[in-house]
Amino acid sequence: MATSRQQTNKLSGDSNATLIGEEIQVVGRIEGREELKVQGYVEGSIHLTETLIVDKGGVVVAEVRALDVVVYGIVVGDVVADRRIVLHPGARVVGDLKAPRVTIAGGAAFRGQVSMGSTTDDGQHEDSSGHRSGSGRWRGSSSSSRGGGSRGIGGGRARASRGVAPKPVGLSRASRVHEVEEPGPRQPPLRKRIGREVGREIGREREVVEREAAPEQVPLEPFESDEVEGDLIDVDDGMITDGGKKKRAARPRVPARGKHSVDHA
Amino acid sequence: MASTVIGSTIVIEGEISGEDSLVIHGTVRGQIDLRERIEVATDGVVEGTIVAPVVTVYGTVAGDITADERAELRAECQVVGDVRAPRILIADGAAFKGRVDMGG
Repeated sequence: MATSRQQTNKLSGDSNATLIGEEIQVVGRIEGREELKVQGYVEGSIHLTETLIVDKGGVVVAEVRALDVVVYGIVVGDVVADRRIVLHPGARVVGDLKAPRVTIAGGAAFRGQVSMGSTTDDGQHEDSSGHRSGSGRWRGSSSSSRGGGSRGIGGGRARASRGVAPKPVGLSRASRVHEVEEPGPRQPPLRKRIGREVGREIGREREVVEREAAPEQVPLEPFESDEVEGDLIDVDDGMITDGGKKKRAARPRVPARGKHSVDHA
Repeated sequence: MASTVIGSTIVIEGEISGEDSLVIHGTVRGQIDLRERIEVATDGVVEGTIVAPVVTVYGTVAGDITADERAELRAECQVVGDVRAPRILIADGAAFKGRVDMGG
């Protein structure tokens, strides 16, 4: 055995520890009795009697069972460890964790349930699946992750394949990462839109006020000047619009001119 | 370069694809499609088609092998399936059953 390893070692470089490299995609089932390190992409299921390491850059979309599970990268799917689960800083995990010992470091992103009982009892945490879907975070990558009670290999695989259905080989990993991080910038535009609508409403209110009140207020209105002008023409005489136009034209330009002229003088 | 290694106790059922070299000591059932060289070590078993630029077999392959550059069936390997490559090496002691297509 040892000699055969040496004979074939020229390609692998160092040890024969199992490694899924950065540029490798595996779709299917992986089983083994040795340590496995994933730097690439694995979809399906992983069953090991030793340690699974998901390296930085590694993506595992699978149901995972191993002795120890150490995550630096991304895992989507339920993780069961007979001994220990460790999520290191930078890890992103969506799914349930089940192990006697679970460590989640600061800087690790995790969504799902944690149960620290023995790995044999199951079904205790089925009831609260609705609670997880309520959070709404990471919608892109986990929209399909809450099927309810379907657990085990079948459920995990179905979920995995649904989550990554259109999979162009090269781009898949990047887009998935993007999906996970997407929801952050989603909120601000919403707020902006509200702000703009409110502003528009305020503007309309002002228009109404302006029609009823003195026309001198018109030039003070800084935005939607065209609308204001149109309304004034409809409602009032040309005289007032002329006055409004003059002031409106004058107001914004004067300070600018003044500044420049002062500087030059 | 960190090449991918499938350890001797590992069994993969499914598809492997990518742009990294691959060394198989374990068992792979399914298709392998790589843009880099692949090596099936003496204790490695592949049941499925292999597509790669360079395929080197020391172990067991049951399935077709397609290599753009070179296919090497080393001594004591066991290959059952068709081999298609512009350059094919079948070493003395290799057990091979199947067709050979060197193009042309």
